[in-house]
Amino acid sequence: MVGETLERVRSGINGMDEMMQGGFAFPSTVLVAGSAGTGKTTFALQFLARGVKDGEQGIFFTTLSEPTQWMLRFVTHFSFLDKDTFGKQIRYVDLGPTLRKDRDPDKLLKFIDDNIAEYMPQRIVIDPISVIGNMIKGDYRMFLYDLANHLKNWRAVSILTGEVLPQEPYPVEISYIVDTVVLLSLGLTSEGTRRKYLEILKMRGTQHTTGQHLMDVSRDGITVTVGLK
Amino acid sequence: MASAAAFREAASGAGGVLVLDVKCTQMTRVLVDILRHLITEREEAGVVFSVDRPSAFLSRLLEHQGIPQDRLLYLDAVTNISGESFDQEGKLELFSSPFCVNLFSEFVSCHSEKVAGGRKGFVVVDNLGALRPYMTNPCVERIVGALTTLGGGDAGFKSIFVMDKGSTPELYDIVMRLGGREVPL
Repeated sequence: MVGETLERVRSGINGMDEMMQGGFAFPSTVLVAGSAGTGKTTFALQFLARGVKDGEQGIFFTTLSEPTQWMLRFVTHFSFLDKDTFGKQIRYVDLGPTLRKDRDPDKLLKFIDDNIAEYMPQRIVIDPISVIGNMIKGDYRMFLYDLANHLKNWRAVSILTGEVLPQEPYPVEISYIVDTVVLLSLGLTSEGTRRKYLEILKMRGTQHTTGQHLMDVSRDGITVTVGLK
Repeated sequence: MASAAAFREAASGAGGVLVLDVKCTQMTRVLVDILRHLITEREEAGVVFSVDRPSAFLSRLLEHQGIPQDRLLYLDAVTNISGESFDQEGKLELFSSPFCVNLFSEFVSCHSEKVAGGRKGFVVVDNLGALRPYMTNPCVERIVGALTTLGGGDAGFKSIFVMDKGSTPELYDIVMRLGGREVPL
């Protein structure tokens, strides 16, 4: 079977591991792309919370979407998040000041590397990665290549969230350098109701379910119902 | 950490082939923990054999964790195919790629004296399971065999394998067959 020798970690998303041979390959990089309100940050936090349950450490790098202070205030109502893990098993690091100050891809990468080397996490989130492309000076593609390479060599599964534009369904430049692309989207059902959907577009070394699958977000986090479209 | 305490007790003064069975996600932390014990507490010299990722990443981790590397020799089979190039602490020998199985064994044999040098030491592999995409199990067995003889008969020399028995049972069996002793964590 494809990917049977790859080690895997559970995604934390209810119903998703069955779509991808048991979980994300370890180590690997995952792009979770979607427009505003599709559940990207919730996905990322649920992934980190699963890691805590499995005895792993996580780092959540915020960029310039939402300061940690406000993000945490909005997400603490989720039942899967244990506040006792904040700053301990899950560390929050703001990339905003480094981005604003230098806009230098090498300095940004070093800042990320230094935090990882100090804390040794098995799960990493950068939320959102797509903002960095507009901020840094220099070669963005080279930065993305180095970043993805480093993240895997630190031996972690990393989720990079990506904001999408009306003219492109997902950030194309990032999709080439990651191992997995998960697309979160909004769509109308046949009854005319707007619902959320999850689709795995790409997953290296893994046989995965294709197509859009219905996704619900509740106090318990995201649940995917495979087969419901 | 618990792994250092268990390792300290099981490996205190003893050499041989030591196997630590840990989940793949915990390998790096356990590896750093063990190196901290061997280098800072026991002041031993040793070899890190990198077959999974460029040794610079482990080197940087040790630097951040305050573990000195002046008594470490890195044998690195990955950097040349990794797309990475950077300076690192510690002595470094690069292989052209992990496909050079014969070179592995020869190189390990050649370094036996240089590394052990009549004093206690160790070799640790980061991480044996990563060799599976590159070579067959008999090839891995030859490498493991060469690594276990690296101490050149020094009773205190340790060949340490941090591995995930659950994901690489066949490699675990090979190491145990070649005299491995599992350190319970």
